[in-house]
Amino acid sequence: MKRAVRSEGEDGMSIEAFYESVGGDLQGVRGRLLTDERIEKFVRMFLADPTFGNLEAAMAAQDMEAAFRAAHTMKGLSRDMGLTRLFEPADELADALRPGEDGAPAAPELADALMLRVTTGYAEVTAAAQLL
Amino acid sequence: MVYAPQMKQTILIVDDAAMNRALLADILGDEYEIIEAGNGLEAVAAMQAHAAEISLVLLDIVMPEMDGLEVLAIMNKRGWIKDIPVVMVSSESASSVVERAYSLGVTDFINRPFDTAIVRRRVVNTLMLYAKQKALVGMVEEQISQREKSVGLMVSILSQIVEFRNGESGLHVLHVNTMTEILLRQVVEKSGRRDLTGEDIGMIAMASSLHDIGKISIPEEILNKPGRLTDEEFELMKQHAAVGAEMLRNLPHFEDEPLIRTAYEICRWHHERFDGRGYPDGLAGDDIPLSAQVVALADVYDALTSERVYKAAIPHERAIEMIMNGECGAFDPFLLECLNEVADEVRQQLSVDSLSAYSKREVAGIAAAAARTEALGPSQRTLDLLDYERMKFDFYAMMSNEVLFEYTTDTDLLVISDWGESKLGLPELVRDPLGSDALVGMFGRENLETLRGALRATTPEAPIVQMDLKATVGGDARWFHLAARGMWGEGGSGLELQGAIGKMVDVHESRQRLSELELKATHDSLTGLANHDFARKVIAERMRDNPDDTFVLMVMDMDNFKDANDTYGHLFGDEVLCHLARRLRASVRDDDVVARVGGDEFLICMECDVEPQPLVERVFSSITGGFRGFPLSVSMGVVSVPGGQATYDALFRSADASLYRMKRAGRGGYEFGTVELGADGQEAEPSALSEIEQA
Repeated sequence: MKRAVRSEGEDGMSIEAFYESVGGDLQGVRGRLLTDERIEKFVRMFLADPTFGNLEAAMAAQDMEAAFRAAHTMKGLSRDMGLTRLFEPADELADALRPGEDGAPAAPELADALMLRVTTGYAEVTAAAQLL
Repeated sequence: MVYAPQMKQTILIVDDAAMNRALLADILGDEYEIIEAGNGLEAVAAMQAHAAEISLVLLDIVMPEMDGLEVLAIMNKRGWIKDIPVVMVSSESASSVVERAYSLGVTDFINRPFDTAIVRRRVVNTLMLYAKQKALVGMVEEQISQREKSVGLMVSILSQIVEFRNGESGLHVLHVNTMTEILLRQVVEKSGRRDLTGEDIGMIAMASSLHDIGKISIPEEILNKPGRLTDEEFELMKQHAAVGAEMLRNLPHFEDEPLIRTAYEICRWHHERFDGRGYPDGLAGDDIPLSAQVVALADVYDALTSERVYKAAIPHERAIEMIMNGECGAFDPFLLECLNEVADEVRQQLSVDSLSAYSKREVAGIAAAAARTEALGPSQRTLDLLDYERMKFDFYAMMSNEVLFEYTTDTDLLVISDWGESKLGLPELVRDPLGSDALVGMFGRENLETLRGALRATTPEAPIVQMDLKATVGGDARWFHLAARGMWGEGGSGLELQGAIGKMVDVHESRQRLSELELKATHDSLTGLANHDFARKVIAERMRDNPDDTFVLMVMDMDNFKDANDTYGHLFGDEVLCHLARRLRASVRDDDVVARVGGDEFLICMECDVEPQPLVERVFSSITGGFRGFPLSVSMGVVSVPGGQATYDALFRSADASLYRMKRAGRGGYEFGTVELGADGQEAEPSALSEIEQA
């Protein structure tokens, strides 16, 4: 039990450092997910999640439908984890790629620039992972 | 029932992002059983497999393969949406999508980002809402089935008892029953008392049927005595109240069965009087339970208005008058007022009461109640039963190496049982089966199309299709036996084929065993050639099927086989026979018949449209010469005939006869004989030798 208490304290410190580094909304996440233990668990899961890879691959292959789904997932996950600087471009990218009635994306001309911002945001998150 | 439902409720989480599923599962904690699905197809499969277990679905909208809206559409089509609440979890905020989801029956929305408190609250609320509805449906159904059972049983038993034993008409029980109900309703209406529900009234009325069961203990002479009873007889008669009550009290479920307890009150006290001068306990006023008071009144009224062995029937008005005047016992004045007010209804109802009308009314009531339940969807009990059946089904399927499948036309979905999934590597759920690479690859397009055609050709009267088909499993060809049943149901335009169910059994091993056995039964174990029986069968069939072709039959045996055995032993003899067999086989075409007739005797049969002599020569020369220094000498008899002009046996006898002539003539050569045909087309004895060639 002693060990658990101590490591919780440490985790609390590192999770704060992580969120500060990526400009995330730790306070909001704490309000929703309640424990730092759970937050850290899911930040780690997010770092291992294939969604960003899927997004990159779909964009490279110009598969707009798959890219929309990946951007959509990315938007949801980053919002859950309070990763604001990743969420914002992911949200815009999902909107730009959202298929209309005819199945074509809404604003494909914006996609590349938004993808660049998503990539930057994601890189920031992975770089901060060492703080955990 | 052996099957106990799980205590934990099961939630199906459908989301293509594993992390989303993990997050929701984590938030919900271990209070629930969690099933996960990574897309809409998997979700539908999960619902199909666990329909009754799933208490709630958390459903994402944007997913590959099949999205959330399509899942909802299928849930509507299958009617699952009535029993399984769906809560949408999505960061999708486009209002058109949200509206569409609600119109498809979604109960609630959980917006992103996930908030622990909100997720848990929404889930609990939705579960409670549905639990209540299910409980209600269950209660109604429980009631109906109980009522149905008890009423049917009692009415039939009691009418019988009363009719045969009591000398009264069977209608007495029904009249008391009907009148009790009418009176009690009036009591409730007039007094405004709320402690007596419609259900209670139904129960008391039903229990009233038992009021006279104690009469079973009264001697028949007393029961049916015309004229007045003596005091002694009357004392005996009075015992029926207490006796009937005791009978009920001795029932095993007396304490916890309200119907029996009420019947007890009625039996024991339906001869008490409001003034305390009744029997058996002399209770007075409100000490007498209302049920017993009402039944007493109904009993008296019906006794008055019915014909009995000792009296004629009294008209309705007169009977009411007598009761009101206190000529027939003492009753609660309030109860008498009630009777007065419903007197007309009583007269009317009792006059139409007959056994069949009674049951018709009852049945109509039950049917109406059942129809109301239907509208609420299947009850929990039905779902549990279904689930139990499914478990049983799955188990048997697993134990019998069978692949089960189910296809529904409207969704174009094929569901394959777990076993098929694990053993055959097929997906559990296939949309558009004929377009599925996995299915086409395994069974071949032709087989699938044949099956589809056969199913479409079924009728509601003859819905079953059976076929054997070869499938490619793990690179190997295997045989399966398939049985399927076309599912015909009432559709928009009359009866239509709504899908199919079926099973497939891997019969490869048994088929292989069978063909091994067949091979053993038809072939010679030493040389591997056909045996004579089999050869005869094959040749006779060919002759019958090709009556105009010329068949050439050669029968041969070794001239010196005995020497081989005697000089070099039986093993060597066997080798000689095998050598001959190989040579013969190699000297003819594959579809010519080569057989070992027995011992060292062989035959060859071929169809031949040219002069047979060169062929015969080739065969003959292939088996002459030597084998490991042992000289081979063979004699051969040959005949040829058009297939339609002789039987096999005649052909063989002729060839055999030629062979023996050959042997007598000097061995080591062949002889052509003929089959002589009689005027009636039947063969005669073979003619004398036509040609002898010396090797």
